[in-house]
Amino acid sequence: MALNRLQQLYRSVIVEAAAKPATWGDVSGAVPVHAVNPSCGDKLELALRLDETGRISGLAVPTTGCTISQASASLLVGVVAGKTRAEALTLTDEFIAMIREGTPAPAALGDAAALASVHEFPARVKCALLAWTALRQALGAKGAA
Amino acid sequence: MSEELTKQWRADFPLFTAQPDLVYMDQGATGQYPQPVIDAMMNFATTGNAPVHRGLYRLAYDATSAFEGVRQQVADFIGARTANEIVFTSGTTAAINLVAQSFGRLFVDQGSEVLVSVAEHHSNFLPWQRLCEQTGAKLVVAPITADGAIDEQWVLAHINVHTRIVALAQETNVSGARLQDARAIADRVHANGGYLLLDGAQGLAHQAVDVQALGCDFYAFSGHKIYGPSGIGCLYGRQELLTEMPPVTLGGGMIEEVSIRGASWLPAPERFEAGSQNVLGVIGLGAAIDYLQPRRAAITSYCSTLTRQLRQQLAAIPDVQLYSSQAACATLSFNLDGVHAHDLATFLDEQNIAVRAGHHCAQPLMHALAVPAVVRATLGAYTSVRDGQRLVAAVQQAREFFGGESHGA
Repeated sequence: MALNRLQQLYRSVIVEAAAKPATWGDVSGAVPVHAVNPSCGDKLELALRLDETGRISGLAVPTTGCTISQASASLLVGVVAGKTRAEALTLTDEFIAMIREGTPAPAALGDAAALASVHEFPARVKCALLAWTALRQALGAKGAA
Repeated sequence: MSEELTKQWRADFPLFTAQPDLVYMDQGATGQYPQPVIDAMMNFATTGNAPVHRGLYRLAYDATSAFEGVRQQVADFIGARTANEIVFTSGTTAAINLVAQSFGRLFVDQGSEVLVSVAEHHSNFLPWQRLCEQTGAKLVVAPITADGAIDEQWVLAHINVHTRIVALAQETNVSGARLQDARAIADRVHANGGYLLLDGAQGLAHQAVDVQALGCDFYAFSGHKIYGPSGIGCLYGRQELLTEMPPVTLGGGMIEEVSIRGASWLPAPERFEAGSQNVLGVIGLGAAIDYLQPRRAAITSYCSTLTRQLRQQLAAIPDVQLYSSQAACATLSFNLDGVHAHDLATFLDEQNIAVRAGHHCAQPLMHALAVPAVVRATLGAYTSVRDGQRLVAAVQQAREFFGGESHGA
């Protein structure tokens, strides 16, 4: 019985994050980035606003999908809220390395480090990365250096 | 339940010797190999491999004879008139795309209608959607019944003189419902000057097929869903239709003559088999038919009984929603309320139960059912009663696990 692995994957911080709306700040007027996980049907619309100093002033990532994809979106919002574009990109890289390579999570990833065990579930890696790769795309597309 | 039979069949599949604890319930996606199929492929690879239709030496002649022998075997297996009505393809998907892009471009134009159902696998939906975009024809999409079957009365009522092609799954891949009267649909569409294609990807494993009795003009299937290898499948097409159809893929092995001004094609079926063929796959397909044909009725009867029992047991678990048909002979599609299909599939995988979860390449159906994804367990000859018990027990455990229990800190 592999309940321990499952208990790690579905820790209460993750289940609770999945139930929370993934939104912070004001995203009015933002052009949403649409992302899907075609193998499983997870879907999200990421809306991002940066203020005049290049800091994230609003981020909403409404997601329909599994617990992991929804928790990941909600944790992403918590981690990058108020960060500069460069900081957000660094955090995103660190999160992606944690999920893909199993790299230890830096403290700055906060509660998002709870998703580290997804590395042990290769079939679920895409679920955990969907929101974070969409943010990378949105930050790139904004061209706000 | 005939446990003895299952034990015999299960012992035919060496994967379960290597993985004795595995509950493999994804036969509907890809089947496991029985030993005779492995042996036939190994034997050909180690003693008989050569190019077909090309070499002038004895080894190539023998390989060609074996290859063409399987074509005749397939023709006999599905009731074709001659082996020339059997085209080897890489699978069902390639077979349907070939019909859409070759036959479709000849017979479908603006003002035509192509009739499919909302329950089709993308491989029997997208080729027709594209054909309609290319030609200006109208895609007519039949609904499903409350039990998940294609609504055959709706189909019959919507065939008219504009209907050029009706393309339907003989057995749908999510609900497992089977067409009840393909012949009535064939007769109606023929009376209106159109044609019928049946997607046999799921159906052929479970029922005897006689394309002449069914009345279909085309029939497509895949090797790996009938205990053979992946990467090989067949298109059956009525000879007079194949003869009129232009090739879609051009290359070696399908020409009569080529000059810098043009080319002429070999007759069907070689016309549609450009490039080096999957000879090893064809040999494996022949062995799979040898394996399945004498056992199919007994396997289907066994799987149907087990599927019905498991369906009742799953239905008795609170919060389980079933999407597969009550008449399904090997398919159980379901969800647990409040738990996404992928979370449930991961839970089952941790108990070493392999199921499919997702949209099953049937997004129009998912939209019709208003669910993003479902879990699908499909049974095969090797599925044991104990496999079924483990599935039901694990779904019950998943309900407890995800149902608000504390999940560790």
